[in-house]
Amino acid sequence: MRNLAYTAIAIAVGLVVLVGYFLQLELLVNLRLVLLEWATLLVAVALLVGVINLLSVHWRKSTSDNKNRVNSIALIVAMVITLGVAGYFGPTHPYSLWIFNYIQIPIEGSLMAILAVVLIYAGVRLLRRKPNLLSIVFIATAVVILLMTGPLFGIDIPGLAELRIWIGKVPAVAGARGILLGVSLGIIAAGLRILIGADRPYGGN
Amino acid sequence: MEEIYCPLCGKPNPAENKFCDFCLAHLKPPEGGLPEPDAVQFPGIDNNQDGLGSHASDSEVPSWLSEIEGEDQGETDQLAEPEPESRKSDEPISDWMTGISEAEESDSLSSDETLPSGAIPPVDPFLYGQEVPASDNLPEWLNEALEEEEPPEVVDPDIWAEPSPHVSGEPDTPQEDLTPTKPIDESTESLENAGPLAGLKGALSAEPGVARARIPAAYSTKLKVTANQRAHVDLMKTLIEDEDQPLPLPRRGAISQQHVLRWVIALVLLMVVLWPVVTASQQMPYPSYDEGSAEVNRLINQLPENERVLVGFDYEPGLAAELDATGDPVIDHLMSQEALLTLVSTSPTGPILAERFITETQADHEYINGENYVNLGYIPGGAAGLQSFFGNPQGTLPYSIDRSSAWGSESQDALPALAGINQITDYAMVILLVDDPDVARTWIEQLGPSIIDPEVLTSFVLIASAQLEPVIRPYFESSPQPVNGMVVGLRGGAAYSRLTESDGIPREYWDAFGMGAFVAALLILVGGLGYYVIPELSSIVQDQGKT
Amino acid sequence: MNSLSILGLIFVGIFFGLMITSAVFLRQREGLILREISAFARLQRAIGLAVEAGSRLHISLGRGHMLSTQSGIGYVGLSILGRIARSTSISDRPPIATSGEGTLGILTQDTQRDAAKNLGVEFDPVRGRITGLSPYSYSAGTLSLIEEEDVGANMLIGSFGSEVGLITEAAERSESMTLGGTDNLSGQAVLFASAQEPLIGEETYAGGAYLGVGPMHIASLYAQDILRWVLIGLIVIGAIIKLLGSL
Repeated sequence: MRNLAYTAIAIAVGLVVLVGYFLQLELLVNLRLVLLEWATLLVAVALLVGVINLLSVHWRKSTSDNKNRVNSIALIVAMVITLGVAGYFGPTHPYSLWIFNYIQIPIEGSLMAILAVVLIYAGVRLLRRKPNLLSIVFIATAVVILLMTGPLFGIDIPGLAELRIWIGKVPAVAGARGILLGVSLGIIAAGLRILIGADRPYGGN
Repeated sequence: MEEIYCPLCGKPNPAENKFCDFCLAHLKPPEGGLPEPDAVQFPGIDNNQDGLGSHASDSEVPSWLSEIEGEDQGETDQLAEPEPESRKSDEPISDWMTGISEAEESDSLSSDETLPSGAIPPVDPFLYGQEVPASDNLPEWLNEALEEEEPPEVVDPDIWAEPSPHVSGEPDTPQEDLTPTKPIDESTESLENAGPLAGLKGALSAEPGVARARIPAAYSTKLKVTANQRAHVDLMKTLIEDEDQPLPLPRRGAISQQHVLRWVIALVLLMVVLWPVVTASQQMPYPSYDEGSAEVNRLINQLPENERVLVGFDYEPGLAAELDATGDPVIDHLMSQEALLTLVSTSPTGPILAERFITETQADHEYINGENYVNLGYIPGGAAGLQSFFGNPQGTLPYSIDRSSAWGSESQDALPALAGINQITDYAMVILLVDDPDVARTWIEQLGPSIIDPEVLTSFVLIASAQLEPVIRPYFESSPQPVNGMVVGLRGGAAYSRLTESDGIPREYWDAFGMGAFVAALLILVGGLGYYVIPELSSIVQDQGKT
Repeated sequence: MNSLSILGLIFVGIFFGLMITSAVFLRQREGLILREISAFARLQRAIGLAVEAGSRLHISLGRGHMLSTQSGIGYVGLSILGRIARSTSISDRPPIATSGEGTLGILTQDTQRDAAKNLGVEFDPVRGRITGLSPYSYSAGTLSLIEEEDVGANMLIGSFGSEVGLITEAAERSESMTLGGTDNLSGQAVLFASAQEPLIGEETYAGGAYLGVGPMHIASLYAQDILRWVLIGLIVIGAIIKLLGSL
């Protein structure tokens, strides 16, 4: 019975938002806006729930005999300090910006640098792992785009710049459109399954 | 799927199989009856292993049966059973074997009249559940007894016939291995000449069981195993024992080839990128022209002074280096037009990135929070939040990030950057700095319908990470345009710097970026070919060495 | 209501009609044939091997907002998580799920709790983790998890950007199998080069149908296929008309 109620609420809310997008009836549009504002609030609360989940998992790890408990302790300490500083002084205060500029940005920047190495490494190994035509096309495209995105020491290789522009405008865009069309169809299917109650991620499956 | 059952092991096999998948026995009789012993060779099985002699009647039975018979020979010899007179050395070993060999051609034979004298008639199969015919060949009492009793569970003498439904993978009872009883040919029946049955023909004689006293056969309690079987048993034993022993996993080397490759890539890349930074090289030329950047430049040039502009900071700290460099000349240009900025973000870290960008990257313009710009902070809820903000900005984000009432009230005016703003189309321009294709698409899809409206004068511009170009270009190139201009990647930022003749962050990064991109392309090309070709070559060389 | 809205509504209506028709058609028919996607065949094997070997299965649901277009892939991931959780929760080391967004994290735990309740086993909330709330922190949190939890197979179904490369790299180091599908174009490019079994485009959305989540997943897959061909036809016809018009 409870599951039935959940399903009914989910379907009703989904229909109001969907129909409200297409039909500009005042009542429907207003109802839709109210529901969207509630959803926005709930998502903000969910973000907080996420932080609590992260904290609870690492609290449990730090109090257990886990070999990596030091990492969990470091995470909890960093989280408490950041929360304290940003909460007390405000997120735009120089102290908060200092933490952001000198801890978060360098860490994420380093991960980005590692990603660059990882992607080059994946490119190097691609032909070995998947020796097929698609991989050759993939590698060739990556090389042309990389070469022609940068200044290439001021050297102008005839045709290469035009090739980069052509790749960017024709095959890449065409491929992206095709993939996005497929993805859009998938999104509609997933949404409709929720709307008719075939998928119930809110429990009661 | 139709299945046939193996006559040897009784397991089900697909109908098209010639040999059993489990024991490799013949499933169907080869054309022309049973094969000659030479023709029946099971893989891996020597018909005359361990020097055992083949049975005298090898010419009539399959070799696997010969082997069994051969092994049993020693025991059967001890029984010293007298050979029936009718049985010659070249005759089949048993009656049912005759039935097999002649089954196909003698299907129609029903009575012994058609048989040559002395031949044993074919036997109809005894199948479970099948009514036993009251054959003339059987005595009446036996017929009656058979009708009263359950049908005996015996193996179908015609082993190639369709299996009965009850036949399962394993024999149900030992009886299944028994030879079926044969009707007795009247011609061979003897006339009882003594006792109460005197004068009767075909009566069961009491003599063979009772009168013929003999020493019971001595059966060995030891299992007779050939040397070859012993070897197989030992092998099996070893295999089973080894199963229990945990095998130590091969230790991975602390430094593998992959580790080395990763380190080489990282070091080469680091050195190449650091070189222009250390030498402060700024020699590489800017790209000549970029259509999207030129359009953005034109739109900002057209903006009147103190015009209100909404700027979305939707990128992650990890991509701050790229987006800072790409957005720097554009925002610099915008601020030089003294535009009043409203900063928002759908990413939790976006508001701090926005604050950092205005106060640090564009510190020269000395923009003051609350006067020249307002930071409204984070819009939660992704697309739904964005839709809510576009429909009702005051309701969605009523306060600025420093907790002041941004939109004003009856007692207080709205902040200058928000004065006169009631809906999203009241802004002269919307600029989005973005690193995620999904976020860019969300903004475009939510804002696009308003932007393409001919009555709306708001323009929408994207400053995007290079990875987004294939996603956003269709929106820029379509007509009507939901995106009016775009600056993509460091290349776009550099092209914009060329247009505004400014030397900001793009100039600092451009040489290092160029070197890095070139070496990355080279590493992928050369490394990829090497990684593919070298192992191939070495395996060819190894193969040649072996041959 | 403008013409674009009407078109959109008609399109959604047709899609819905096709889904229902396919569902009715499938109910009457047995012996369904789906195009072979090697990634799913391999995943099913990997799940079996992981359970047998006592290693853990990791399902990563990405960081897509549940109120954005990324929710589509999120729901697909949740359906697959539910399916896998129902079939492997009673193993010694039940699957672990990670996400990088608050709402998705709550739904992840709910799905796992539901599966555990159905099987009558206890649910440990640590099995549904939020490992970070920004793309890179999410990846960084997932890296350590793959190593610590002795993961045997990774299934990355959700919204990931290029940072997914860090996760596939960690999986490769731990010698575990990786299947990856995302709605994000950059993520797809990275997965193509780095994942063992990448899923391209709408293949990811077919996961539910291939892993036997439910008949409506197969019905919606049929509807997607039909409409995809319709769209291809319309694009080709449109291009021809435009070409003829420009001549």
